[in-house]
Amino acid sequence: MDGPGLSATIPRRAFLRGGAAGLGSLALQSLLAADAGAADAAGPHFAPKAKHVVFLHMLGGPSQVDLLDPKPTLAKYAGKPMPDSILKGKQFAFIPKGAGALASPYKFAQHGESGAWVSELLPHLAKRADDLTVIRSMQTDEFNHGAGELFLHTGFGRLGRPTLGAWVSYGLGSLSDSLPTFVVLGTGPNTAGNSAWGNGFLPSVHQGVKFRSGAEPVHFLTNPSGVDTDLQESVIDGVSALNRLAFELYADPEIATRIAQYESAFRLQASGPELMQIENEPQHVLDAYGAKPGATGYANLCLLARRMVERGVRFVQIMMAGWDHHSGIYGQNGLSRSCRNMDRPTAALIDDLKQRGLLDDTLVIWTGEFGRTPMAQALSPQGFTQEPGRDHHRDGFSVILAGGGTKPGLTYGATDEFGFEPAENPMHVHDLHATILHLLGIDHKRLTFKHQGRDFRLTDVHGRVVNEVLA
Amino acid sequence: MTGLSLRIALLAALPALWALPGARAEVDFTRDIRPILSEQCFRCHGPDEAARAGGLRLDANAAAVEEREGRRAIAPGAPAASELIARIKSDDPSRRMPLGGDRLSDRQIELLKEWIAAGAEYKRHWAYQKPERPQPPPVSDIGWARNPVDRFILSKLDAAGLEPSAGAEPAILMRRLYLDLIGIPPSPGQIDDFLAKPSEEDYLATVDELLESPRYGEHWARHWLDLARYADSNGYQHDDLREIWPYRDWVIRAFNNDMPFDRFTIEQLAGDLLPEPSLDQLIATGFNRNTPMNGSGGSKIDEVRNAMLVDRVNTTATVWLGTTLGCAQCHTHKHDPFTIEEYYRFYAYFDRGVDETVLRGDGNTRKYYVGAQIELPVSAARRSRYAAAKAQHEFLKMVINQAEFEALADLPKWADQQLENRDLRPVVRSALAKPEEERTESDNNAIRDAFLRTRPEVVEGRKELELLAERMKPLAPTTTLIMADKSAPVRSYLLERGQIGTRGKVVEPGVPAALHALDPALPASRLGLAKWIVSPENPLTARVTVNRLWAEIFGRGIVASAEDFGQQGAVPTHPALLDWLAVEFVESGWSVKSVVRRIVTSSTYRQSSRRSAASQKRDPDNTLYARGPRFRLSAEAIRDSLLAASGLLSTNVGGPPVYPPQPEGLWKEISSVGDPNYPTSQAADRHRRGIYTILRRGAPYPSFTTFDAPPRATCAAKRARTNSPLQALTLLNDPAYVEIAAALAKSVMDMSAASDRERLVHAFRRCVTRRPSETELQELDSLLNEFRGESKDEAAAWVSVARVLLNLDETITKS
Repeated sequence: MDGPGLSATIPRRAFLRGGAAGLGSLALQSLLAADAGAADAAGPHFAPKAKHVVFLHMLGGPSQVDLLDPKPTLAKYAGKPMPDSILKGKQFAFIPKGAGALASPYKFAQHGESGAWVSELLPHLAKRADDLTVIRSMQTDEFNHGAGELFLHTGFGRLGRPTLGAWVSYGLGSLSDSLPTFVVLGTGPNTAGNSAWGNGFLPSVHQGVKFRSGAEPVHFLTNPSGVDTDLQESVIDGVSALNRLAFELYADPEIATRIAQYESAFRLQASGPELMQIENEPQHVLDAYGAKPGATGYANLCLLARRMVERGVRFVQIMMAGWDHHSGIYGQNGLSRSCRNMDRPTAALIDDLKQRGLLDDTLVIWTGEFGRTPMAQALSPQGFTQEPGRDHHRDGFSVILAGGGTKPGLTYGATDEFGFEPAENPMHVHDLHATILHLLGIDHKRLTFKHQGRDFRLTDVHGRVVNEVLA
Repeated sequence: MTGLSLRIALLAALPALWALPGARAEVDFTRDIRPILSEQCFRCHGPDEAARAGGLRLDANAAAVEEREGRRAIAPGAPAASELIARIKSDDPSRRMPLGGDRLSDRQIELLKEWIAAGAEYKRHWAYQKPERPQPPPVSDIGWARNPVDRFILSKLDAAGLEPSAGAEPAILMRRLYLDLIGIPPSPGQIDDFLAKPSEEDYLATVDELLESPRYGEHWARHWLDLARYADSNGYQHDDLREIWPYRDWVIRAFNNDMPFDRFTIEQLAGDLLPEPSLDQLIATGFNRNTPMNGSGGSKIDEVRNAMLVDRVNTTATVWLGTTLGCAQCHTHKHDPFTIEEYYRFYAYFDRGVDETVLRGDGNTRKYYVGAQIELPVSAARRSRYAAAKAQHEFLKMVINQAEFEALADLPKWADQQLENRDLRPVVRSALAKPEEERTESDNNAIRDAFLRTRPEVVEGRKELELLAERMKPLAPTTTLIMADKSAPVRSYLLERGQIGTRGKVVEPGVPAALHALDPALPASRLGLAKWIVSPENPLTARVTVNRLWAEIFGRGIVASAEDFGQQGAVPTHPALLDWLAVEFVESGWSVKSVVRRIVTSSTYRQSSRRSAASQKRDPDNTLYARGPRFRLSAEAIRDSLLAASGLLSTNVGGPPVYPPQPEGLWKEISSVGDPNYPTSQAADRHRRGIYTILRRGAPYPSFTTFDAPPRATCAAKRARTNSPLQALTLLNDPAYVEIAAALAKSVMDMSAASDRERLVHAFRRCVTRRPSETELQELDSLLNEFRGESKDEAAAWVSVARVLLNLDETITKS
């Protein structure tokens, strides 16, 4: 019992608990620099405005003409086919040709000093109108959920490319020595699966880490049953001690990386659960979001997003399900319910970030993978069915930006009188990507990764930084 | 020691060779010049006519030296008279080339000047010239060279003034060999004899034995399945499962049987077009049915089809030609000599395929992946059992329908009584709350369903039906997807800018002109394409293939860009070795096993992987191979190895995919429609090799993803090797690995009459093969005692020891 082993455990333990004082920075460095494809040439290329991103993805595609882009003309065409000149050469997922227009049943009003138009479905966001930048001329290439999600996140409608969050991780690296760089939260299934936060051809260390509500927010974060923190620490200590001996044998720097990797995992085991414990928030904060400890809805996720930003997560992506309104534009259970669940928590997130001084360097993005048609989908020979809806629409939809160096109170771009396609300042998803990267201090043309013989970038050969929306 | 002194003697006799590193080598077009031209110039002055600026092209000798308006871009022998030099040196940003780019470095400018001064000789891109068998070069120590591979390696080491490392310790070498050939480490018993008296003869015998092991094919098929983007689902929305695992088993068998690579190629690309194809030859064509398919409701069938054809073209070009032909899909290639027209001629080979997506007439616009498929033969007994079960199933369904029909008479009465029933699901309650005439079809269905659940005769019947269906599943005939062409002729078009809406001219099937000629006698079909690919004149296929085999073993190819042998690809570190291996490969009758044998029996392979100070400093990435390979195992090999170490590994071969335990609910997260439930396997199927694990593209087995296994959405010629804390969490906490630790602990505790130390040595060897050093053993011993203090019982202490061992760097690494 008095061999060198026992005494050696004391410094080992100090080493693990020491965190950043131990191998911390080396750990970070070596974890990022994987032995294949490290991001040595990556950004930032200039001083960033934003350090964090909270990307709120409304899965299914919210209806712009019912929320942010009022179109009184639709009332004139209600139930009647749209003019041919508008529909020529367009493709839709489901609706047949000749579908009639569907006027929005919701009232719009101007809000704040900026006078931004917001519908009655979003009373809380309306009050923050002066904090928001609304883009009404957004366009994408895809009109199906799977491809649309991929396009929104990777700039390409098919599988295989890295997502925005992965590019940001590759370009800028980590801000935390205990939490992942790119975290994903969701309220329900998304169509493109893991590919909506995948690393594509970038090293897999850049993929989004899905956090789940419940006992184990990250896969395998919890110790095996019967193993307490002390025992887990002893096991990791043992692994590291033997790895150090192996290092003497092979002199391979990869072994040092492995030691750091286990140290980092141990810290994540401590910080991950702490992060998820929203019951530690004061009641008024919980109330502002409408969050409830133990619940799994969007409100909780928004609160978690703030906690993550605070703790150094660089990119938080929230996937909120329930915006595919092929029916339910009217009534209390469709669009209206999705808005009720989304409006207050999103507004609270913006307030909360602002109050904590985090909004200046946190860019919040609210968008669907596309918008919805001004035409009704569920048109029967007798007129509307009971629950009219709208089809997928890629040619013109609305996006909200806040913080992170965007121009508050601005409404940018406009669609035609039907809300169909941009009448001025069209902004493509590639332009949104270029602009987001710009705010993060990255030149979208210089953030590249060589794959299959060429330098790929998020924006491919497209993308324009839309300076007009920058503060 | 004799080897070493001999080498010193020889070095002294070869002053020219080891004087080389100091001297500056002559400018080499392939190594020095083409990369500059390709990177800096070809985008605007390359093969793409549409993008060409000022009519100047610098990728072809004749055009570059041509006099234009009294000047020549390149005047061979006269750098001062060459416009190119003037323009890259210009201080005027509107004149300086590359326009808008950074100024070339002084070194690059100097190289270009030297090259022009020496006559500006262009060489055809090395990879497009047919390899010829080079003479193995003279080396400092012929005794070290066990086979020609070693002479190519040693000659470069000599030139760099580096020495090879000593041979690896026998246990480490054995572990390396097992992992490379069969993907799992040896058990202590398997190699004890060799370790007791390691001999060359025994080593070679072990190599042959492992090459004959059925485990060999299971290991080597994995890299091919990455290339073939084999998966068990369609990808995209719904991500429906597909049945094509017979293709996976075909690949495993092909590797095990060492099917000649030319045949392997022809059968996968065109097995269906062979005369009277065998069942196996049809199964092989699953290679190109592995493409993902976007079946979402709103997708357009012609776009879906186009995406699949593009995937087939690009995959075929990557796998067999190491060519980024995909770059020519929308415009002529910017760097390599491929036009957009040639892209669509290649595409035309695949355009003849039968349609593969259908709508099912259920009012839904969701698409299903069908196309040609075949049923695998089953025994007569199984066939009749299936038929009987099916009849029984039909009958039971009829009985239940009748019972439901009779029960429904009571529905209105039941509905009236439910208004206060709080136990009903909210959808049912809200449906019931509506007046009858306002209920939608889905409301009525919800009510009907809730009612029927209260009727025991229906519930019982349905339960029985489910059981029956479950029992039928394994009896159902297996099908697999195969390729088939339409019988009527198909007209193919060039698609301008890669868009299906913009058809250009009609194109005939054909191959890029820059590569070897297409024998006009070959049919204008995939079979002709396949035969063109395996033609002895093809400069690429053999090189690309042996390069990948090398990369599997050494962790990096001789050409580092395994997927790109074009002008933008990496320059080979050992061009002569690559050519020698390629020629040898073809002349050996395209035998993969003989290439692998050649590599693993070389001295190069058998070196110690320890990094000497010199090799770490001079060649940290081991591009010269002054030491043996050392890198982390693949995702599958990690799990397979740990299962093997614990004794849990099932060696059952082939069959339908298995579903090892994974965290709850992952399939629900991607789809509530198609297959939301993950049917976790039971018994031995929980512990099968990773290659048999179900691969659903939208939600692959999470611990594989964490260790860099690709989701197989596209062809992957190499995998990244990254490190993340999630990997540590997986091996520490994933219940699958805790189970493995418990099994290892138990088997060690079951050793009869052994001391702690003996048990610890045995457990250590199961994981890392070699024996622990005395220091390591003391560390383990003290850990064991520490765990005894912290744990409630002896078994728990041993489980903790096992967890430590399974998490060691060396356990998941090939040293």
